[in-house]
Amino acid sequence: MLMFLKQERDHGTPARTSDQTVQLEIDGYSVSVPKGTSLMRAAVEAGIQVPKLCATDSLEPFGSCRLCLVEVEGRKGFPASCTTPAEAGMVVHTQTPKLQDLRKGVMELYISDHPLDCLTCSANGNCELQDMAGVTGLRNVRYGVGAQAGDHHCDMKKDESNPYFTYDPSKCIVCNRCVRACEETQGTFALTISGRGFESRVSPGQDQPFMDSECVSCGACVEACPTATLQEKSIIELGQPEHSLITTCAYCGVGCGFKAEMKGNTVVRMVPWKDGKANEGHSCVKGRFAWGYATHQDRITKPMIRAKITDPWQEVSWDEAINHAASEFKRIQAKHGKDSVGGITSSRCTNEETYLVQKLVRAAFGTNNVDTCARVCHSPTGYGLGLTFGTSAGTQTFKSVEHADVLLVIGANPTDAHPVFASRMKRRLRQGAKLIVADPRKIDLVRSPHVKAQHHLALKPGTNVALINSLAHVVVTEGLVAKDYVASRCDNKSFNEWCEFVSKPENSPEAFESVTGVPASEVRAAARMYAAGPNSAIYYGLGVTEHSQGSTMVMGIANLSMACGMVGREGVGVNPLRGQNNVQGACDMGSFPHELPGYRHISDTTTRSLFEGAWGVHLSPEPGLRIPNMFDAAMEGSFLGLYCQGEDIVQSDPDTQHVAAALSAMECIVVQDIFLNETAKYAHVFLPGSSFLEKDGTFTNAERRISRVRQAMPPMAGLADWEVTVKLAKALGYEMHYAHPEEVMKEIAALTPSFSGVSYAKIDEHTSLQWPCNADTPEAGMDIMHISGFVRGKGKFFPTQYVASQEKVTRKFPLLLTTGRILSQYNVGAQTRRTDNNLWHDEDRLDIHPHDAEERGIKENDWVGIESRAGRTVLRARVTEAMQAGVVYTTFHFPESGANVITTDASDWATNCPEYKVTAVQIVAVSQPSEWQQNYQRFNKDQLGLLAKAQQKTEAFEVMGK
Amino acid sequence: MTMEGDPFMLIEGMAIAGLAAGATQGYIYIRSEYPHAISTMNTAIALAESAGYLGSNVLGSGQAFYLHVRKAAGSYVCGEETAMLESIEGKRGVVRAKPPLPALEGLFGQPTVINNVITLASVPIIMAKGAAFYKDFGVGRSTGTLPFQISGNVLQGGLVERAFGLTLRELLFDFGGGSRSGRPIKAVQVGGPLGAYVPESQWDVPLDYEAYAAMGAVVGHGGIVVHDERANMAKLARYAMEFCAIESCGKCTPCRIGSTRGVETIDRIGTASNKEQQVHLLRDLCDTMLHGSLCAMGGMTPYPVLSALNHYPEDFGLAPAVATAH
Repeated sequence: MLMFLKQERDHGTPARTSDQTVQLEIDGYSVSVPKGTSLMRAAVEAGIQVPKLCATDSLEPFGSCRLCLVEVEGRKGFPASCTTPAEAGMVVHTQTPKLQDLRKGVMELYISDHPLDCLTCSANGNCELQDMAGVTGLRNVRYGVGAQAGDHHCDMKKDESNPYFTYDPSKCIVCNRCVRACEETQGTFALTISGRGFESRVSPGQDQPFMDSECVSCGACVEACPTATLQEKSIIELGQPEHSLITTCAYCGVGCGFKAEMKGNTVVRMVPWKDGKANEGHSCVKGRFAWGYATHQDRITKPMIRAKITDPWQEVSWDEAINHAASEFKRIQAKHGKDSVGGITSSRCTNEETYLVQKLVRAAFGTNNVDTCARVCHSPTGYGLGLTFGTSAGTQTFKSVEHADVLLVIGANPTDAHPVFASRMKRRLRQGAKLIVADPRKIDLVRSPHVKAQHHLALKPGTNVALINSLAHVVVTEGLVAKDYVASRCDNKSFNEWCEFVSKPENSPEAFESVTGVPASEVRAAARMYAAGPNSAIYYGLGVTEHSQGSTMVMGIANLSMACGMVGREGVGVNPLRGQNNVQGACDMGSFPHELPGYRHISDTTTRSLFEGAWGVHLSPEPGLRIPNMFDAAMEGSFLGLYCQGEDIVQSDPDTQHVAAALSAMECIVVQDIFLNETAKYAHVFLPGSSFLEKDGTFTNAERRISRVRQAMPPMAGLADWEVTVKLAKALGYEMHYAHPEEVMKEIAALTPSFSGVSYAKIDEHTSLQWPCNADTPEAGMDIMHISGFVRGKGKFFPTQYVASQEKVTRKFPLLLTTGRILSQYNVGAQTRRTDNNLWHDEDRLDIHPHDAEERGIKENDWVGIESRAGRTVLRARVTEAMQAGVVYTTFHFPESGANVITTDASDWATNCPEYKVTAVQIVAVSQPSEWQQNYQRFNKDQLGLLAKAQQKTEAFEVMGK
Repeated sequence: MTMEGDPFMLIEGMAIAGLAAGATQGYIYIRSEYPHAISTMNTAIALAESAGYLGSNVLGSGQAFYLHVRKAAGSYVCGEETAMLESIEGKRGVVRAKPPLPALEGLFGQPTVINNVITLASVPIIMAKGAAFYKDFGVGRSTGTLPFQISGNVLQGGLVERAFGLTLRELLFDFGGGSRSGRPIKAVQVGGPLGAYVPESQWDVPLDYEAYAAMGAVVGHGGIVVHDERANMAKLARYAMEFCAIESCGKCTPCRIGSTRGVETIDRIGTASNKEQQVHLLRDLCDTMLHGSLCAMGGMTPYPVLSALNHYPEDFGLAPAVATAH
């Protein structure tokens, strides 16, 4: 073990919780531990490391390596300290001459079948087998090694099929840590041991290469491996790291803590952080491995400007680019008024950066035309939970699922979209919790290894509200309401009105059966299961929000949870699974046009004057434009300038052709991003962004958990995103004075009551904080919300009338398209498409039920045209029974797929969140790309050519300069 | 033979055990090599169920008890109780670490009583005739009877059910009639393939668990394999290691790697010039396996090896003094 690389202490076996403690003596030290704690862990508590190989504290003890044997006075034999629980009064010896002999004997056996290439081994410096050989004092292998000894595995071939790690069976010590990690930590069960006795060896799938197996490349096995058997390719290439720092993943809303292991400014590997409260040492393929995009050759590192989007880009200095942008915004505002420009904050950037962008828009532009991509994902969550509970966020911690007895998953596919949380869920389900899945598709959770949903409510897309009303109908009419809970904690008048509403016969499961397609008996059974709990938790995703009734559905969920008394303690709650790393934070930071930080309405004079005082400006009390309104205003000619930080609206917003037309109608689009994304192809100023590895700040995950992002390398373009915003504000004539993002957080805390206890020092102390975090909460903030009462006072019920989506199947468009994402790719794919994750998913496919496929003469891999009232695109088909007949599905990770060419302008009535999840379409077999795709190919080629011209020019200057 | 000849004795014993322990499910794990036992047990269970001795309401007791036959694949280690639990659960037959003891957390995570057929089949007679009746058979703490299975180089092989306490010599000669070859008997392996080889000097020790344990041997399930003077005990020691290598589940290191290294080391004792060092290594290996193995598979393999080495060093090419000096 390299001494300079700080390692976390491995306690050998997981912590146990118990009311009782037992006191025992280990090597003469007295130690007290919770009942059920292993002797090994108790020894670590006493400061003693018992030699071990198969044990690690992330996995249940296994007892196979036989190095951790100890002696217990008054007992026969040599029990394994990992599997033997501590008992009161035990007297344990971990080091005796006999134990030393036994351990050396075991080590001698291990090394007799292990290559002796330590000096050139990739694990050199970080190998537990090497450590144990040292600890046991092995000096001689009397059997000989490998072929000298006899039978051996030392010449087995490496499996290098996975792009991120290798499997070298010659180095395998069959400790089973990888197999157990795949089962216990990840829950995929892709690994096993094949053969028995001496032949035993780790086997992905059925002795397949890793890439051909069910392996999802989460890295848990690699992390668990004590030798070089499962090793990151980056370590093989670069060697062991020399320092590390703790940061937060920049992919989904789980917000995993990672230890970035570094050599100078180079990331050697990202290791899931054991003390990260969101992930507790687990990871997925994206956070663990797909970070290579950060230094990808496509990174744009020089500011660029151009007059028209048909002009070549011109690389300029930061000052030139920023002054150009500022003068354009000023020119437009002078001509068309203050409100003719606006900005979009990024859910991918830090809280501090997001805060600064909305501050720039409100204070420097002097308009409230600021919005964020939460508009297109979870804006209904903020709206619905704000009205019912009083807080626009989830109620629990992820860990709380360990106490849930019933999980109701609605419109979410955690296995793909929130994989690390999915692993937690699956662990709880394997322990016996019950599962109800409401989803049009047969998602992985419905049936996966050792997990099976008791009820899969396979509803038709767009009928969520009908389903939630019929569930509520059963709860109310069958007398399953938690009466005392409702009476004491909820608003009775609204409850009674709601009861009357849902009790109506037209809201019964039977009445809605033909609408939702879900058998009434299933709905009734599911409602009873949810109401019975005792602890029932709802987890939902974009399958709830991205509908014309998204906000209605969120309120319907809140109603149901309150009626059954399932909010305000461990194991229950309403849990939106947020899509992006900092979408919660972006919302918290006042990114919406109608809200200042902390969800305070812009029309509220007290709040507004607080900010006016702090910022030294006058703020308009009128809410500004939402993103879709900005597009409409652009088409009308009244919105002409946009500052867009870290969001690719052209690829991610619905009705691509409308978005493109709107952007084409604007006069100045400033895009700040790390790549020339689809939106940048319509831009006039490009400000190179910085990845999460290049700056300091904080992200807030779906648990309201605020975690630090720490700079691992200098910004490639010289400036971090927050510095660029500060410069732009200054050029616009508004000075912001910050030396470090920490000072931005100080300002946020000073102006936002729910953040007043937040500081970098406190985050360092507690590893993370959860808002609300102030004088009224515990030091680290609130883990579970609404414990003694709802934040708004009494929980409020809202009647939720079902209104069918405008997107109805017709003879022309007889199928419903719904969209989503896949494990290996992330949203618009700007990051993951620039990694080897493409090996798992290199194109978006159209999933179609065999019946619908056969009816149209479509076979697997055929090119199919997908047409809606908005547009037409072409994808290859995948015929799968995971779909229900009448519903088709695709992902939207590749721009050329044009998934959003199909989606329409239909949106949530309250928040304008687009109805991505329901589009009426027709599918036909075709032989060539759609007209949009052909145009896109041409446009994309032109734009990349215009970029290349700028870069060539600079290269030429540089050459001449030399 | 019990299962094929008197299946109801076992069913009755298990039903009583089930009622006593409050269990509702019972499993009989039979290797696929015994198809007659499997079909007889299945038929007997069906008959017992239709007669109300098994099922939802055992003899009107209000308690349920169901019996199932589970066919086992050819794995010796699945006779180890925790590996058997894994196998019945449909998993690889790999030994579990204890604790948790199966009595607290066994099959499918439920409290589980695990016993041999002989134990459960003895229940009816104890219930019928009382504990004292049963206790009157046997000696010391080894009470009752054991069906000894006499085989190998013996004139009359077969099953002999006797109370504990008789001697090996009585079994070999009074029941077995001496060797089949007519040559002198050299060594007898008692207690199964992992039992020690017992030399003639120990044939008068009474067959009871404690007395055998005291001399480093095991009574085990009462298997007796007879070898005459032509037997090469080094080969038999090698066979024991090889058996362990073939049957090891592969979980723990001493058994997984040790058994293979054991075979190789014994081979080297026969050929290497540093014979004494190899013997020393074999003894060290046996010590590691004996004290370090997770279950009795690796833990008992040293019994036949060390007993062969200790009692018949000349078969390893050693002078008697070298091996016994340990």
